[in-house]
Amino acid sequence: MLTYTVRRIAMVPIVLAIVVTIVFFAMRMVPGGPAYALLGSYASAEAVRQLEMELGLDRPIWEQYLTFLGDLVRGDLGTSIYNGRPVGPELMRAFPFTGALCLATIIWGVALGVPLGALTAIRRNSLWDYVGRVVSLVGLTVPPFYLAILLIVAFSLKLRIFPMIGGGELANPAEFLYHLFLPSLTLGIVMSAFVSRTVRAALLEVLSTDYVRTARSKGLREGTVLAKHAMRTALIPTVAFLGVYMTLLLGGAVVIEVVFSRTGWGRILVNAMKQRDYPVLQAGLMLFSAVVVAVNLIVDVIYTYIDPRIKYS
Amino acid sequence: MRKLLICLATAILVVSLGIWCLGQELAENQVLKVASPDDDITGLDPFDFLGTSAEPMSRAIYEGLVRFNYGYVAVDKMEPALAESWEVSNDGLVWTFYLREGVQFHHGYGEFTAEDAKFSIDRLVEGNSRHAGDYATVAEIVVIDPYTLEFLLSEPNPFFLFTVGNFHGGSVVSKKAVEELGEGFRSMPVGTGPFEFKEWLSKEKVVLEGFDDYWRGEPILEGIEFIFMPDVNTRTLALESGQVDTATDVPDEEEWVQNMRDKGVIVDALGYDIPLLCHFNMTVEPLNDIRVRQALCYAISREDFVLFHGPSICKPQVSVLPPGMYASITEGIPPYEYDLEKARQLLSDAGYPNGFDLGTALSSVRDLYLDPLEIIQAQWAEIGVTFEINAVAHTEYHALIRQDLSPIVVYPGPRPTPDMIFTQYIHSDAIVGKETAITNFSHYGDVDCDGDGTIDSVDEYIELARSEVNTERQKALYAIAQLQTSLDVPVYPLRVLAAVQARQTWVDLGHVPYEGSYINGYAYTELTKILKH
Repeated sequence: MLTYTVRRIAMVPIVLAIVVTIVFFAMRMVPGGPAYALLGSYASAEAVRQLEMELGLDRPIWEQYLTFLGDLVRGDLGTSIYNGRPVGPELMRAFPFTGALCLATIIWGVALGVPLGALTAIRRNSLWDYVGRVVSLVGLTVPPFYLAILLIVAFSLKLRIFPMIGGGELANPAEFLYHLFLPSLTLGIVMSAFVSRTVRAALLEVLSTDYVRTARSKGLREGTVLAKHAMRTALIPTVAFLGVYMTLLLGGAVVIEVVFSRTGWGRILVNAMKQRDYPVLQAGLMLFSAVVVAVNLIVDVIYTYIDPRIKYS
Repeated sequence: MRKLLICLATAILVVSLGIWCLGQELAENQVLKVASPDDDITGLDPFDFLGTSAEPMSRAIYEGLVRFNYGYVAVDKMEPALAESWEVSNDGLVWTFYLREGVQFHHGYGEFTAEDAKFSIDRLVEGNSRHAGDYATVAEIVVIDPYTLEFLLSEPNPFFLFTVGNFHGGSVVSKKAVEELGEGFRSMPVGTGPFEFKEWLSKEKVVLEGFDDYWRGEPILEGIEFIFMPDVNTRTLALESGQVDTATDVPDEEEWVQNMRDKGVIVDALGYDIPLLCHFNMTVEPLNDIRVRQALCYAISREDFVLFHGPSICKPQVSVLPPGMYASITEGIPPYEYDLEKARQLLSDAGYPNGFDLGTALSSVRDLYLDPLEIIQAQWAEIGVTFEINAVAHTEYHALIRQDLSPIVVYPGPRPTPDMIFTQYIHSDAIVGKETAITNFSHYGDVDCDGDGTIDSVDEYIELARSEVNTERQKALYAIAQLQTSLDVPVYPLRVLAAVQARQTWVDLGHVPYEGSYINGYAYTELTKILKH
């Protein structure tokens, strides 16, 4: 197990190197460089060329790549072309906002999705099942931005309970959570739809296995059978699903961050893509891949604990 | 008895004044929340191109030697600002400004003097800023004494005052601050305006604070928070729920405007700022044939554009210069009124009785570009002229159209002066592909427009008008340029759209009325206040 973990960690730099290399070259192949984005709509061709020279974008691409790698090794993530600020601190400042959003989403998703999934599986083909499945179908099909607006209209405009602007301040945890409620609920509802479907499918399968029948036949109460025997096995695919979903979350976060005017990685990355802000995009995607790799590693490790049948070698 | 009467009268006066004041009472919270339409700003140094969201911030932080008469669209109504007065020599070549004494820079950067004003413009020119071109006629700036500044021009510039106003390069910065902060000035701007910079949290907000030592008097507002709200629905809902006080770049649709007005939000549809031109690439067959271009013009119904946005915020544009702009004319300009019969006739004269296919036209994914192109696509289909639309990312679009890759380019571009419109869209120096290229997508000035064997161009009139100080003669030159352009049809003007922005009833801008502005976004001054609500 330990050697497996160490080997996985040793792979991280290689994965990151591949990611940054792909990002570096792919970005430069798309037409329209940062100079156009910066200079605005009435820039002359000469001004564009001059800015490209200042930014070092007129040098051969391999030279740019080597400079970039050199800076990276020294821990310098560069400066944003768009707003002239150092990339590292900018991403660090936004990290808690996105991190908290993802974490809270997962909490919502599990808290809403697991009971819903269990209910629909246990009361299969009952009214509960149909209602639950329709609810999760709605969750799957409603676009998050639309759901966000619905929640804003209900909670922010009509009831005036929750704010709709910004992410609050880190220094003030109560306010931070207060601002986190609606955005995370939006993504959480969407996620719970996926979770409930996974749980339902897994639980249905487990409930028809021999060991559940054995548990029932030795006279255990149905609650015990479910809680101690069935659910534990049924949750294994759910954990695997969480690992995959983490990577999807950042995509969902972009929309939510825009609608709620929050800062965050999703918005930073999308804006960087639109503005062709190479340094931000390179650093952002690299760190994002690091997070994905880390989450997957954690999921794999958790796996061995909840499912003793799995052994990594 | 008389004393008693006087006392009584005074008492009544005082009480009624009090009641009046009560009606105008200020809200406890004097921090104005502004919904800014972008994801972020690129910085607040006037050396750079600032953009929609940063312009209103810049106007609160910086001042120019003169300023716009807030609330009006008028180049000829500039007001004194950092300069108390000015005079211009008879030949129009020497402008002398007498500067205000005792004006303080923010953050303790000391008193403003002529050196700062000179430095502010010199650095644009020396550093080859985007705004350097506005000062091409300035030969030298001479500091006579700390409070007197002279501009020596190489040729007369009728729009000179405009370039030393608080817009773009005209913003005066603190020399000391720029020298001390270097690159950092971009995120730590120092000016003399009513609000001083406090913080900029990227992708979140920019916070300004009232500047206590402002020379016109301490601002009533304690501060302004410009919140980045890129989603238009969020801006709308935030307005509705009162979570923001003003918003710019709100939907330019009649229905939206009416709906918000019904909900008690003040919506200002200002001026007619955003013109829209359809550029025909005259180097591409069959657009090189003037009959084809005329046919395409006859097949466009400007009324559809007006209906699309709504008549209260949209008007047809007939000349290259939008209606309401200085020197804009409509008389004598062939309007090419919607007439499908004429269009079909012209097309068949040109040898395309059944129309033709134009290939692929590029568009940005933004509505401002895509919507009009789709309207044109539907209208031209009536006469058998078809094209595909390839909508690409905005930055990519700007790069691709400059490589001559689209047969037609529908380009919205608000420009404040006739010279900017002609220089950037019509003058042959601006043709895409050239060293000096800006945004002439039609190649007008380099090609034979009407097939008579000569190159057609209005460059000469544009250049003459640029330095003509006599307004009558200048207007005449612009009139000729407009007429000639409309006859050669390198571009077809479509419509002008009002810049729509909204504010709450409790926001008193401090300047009335509000008839328009050159720059998108309200101007916030020391008199702006939030009323009790």
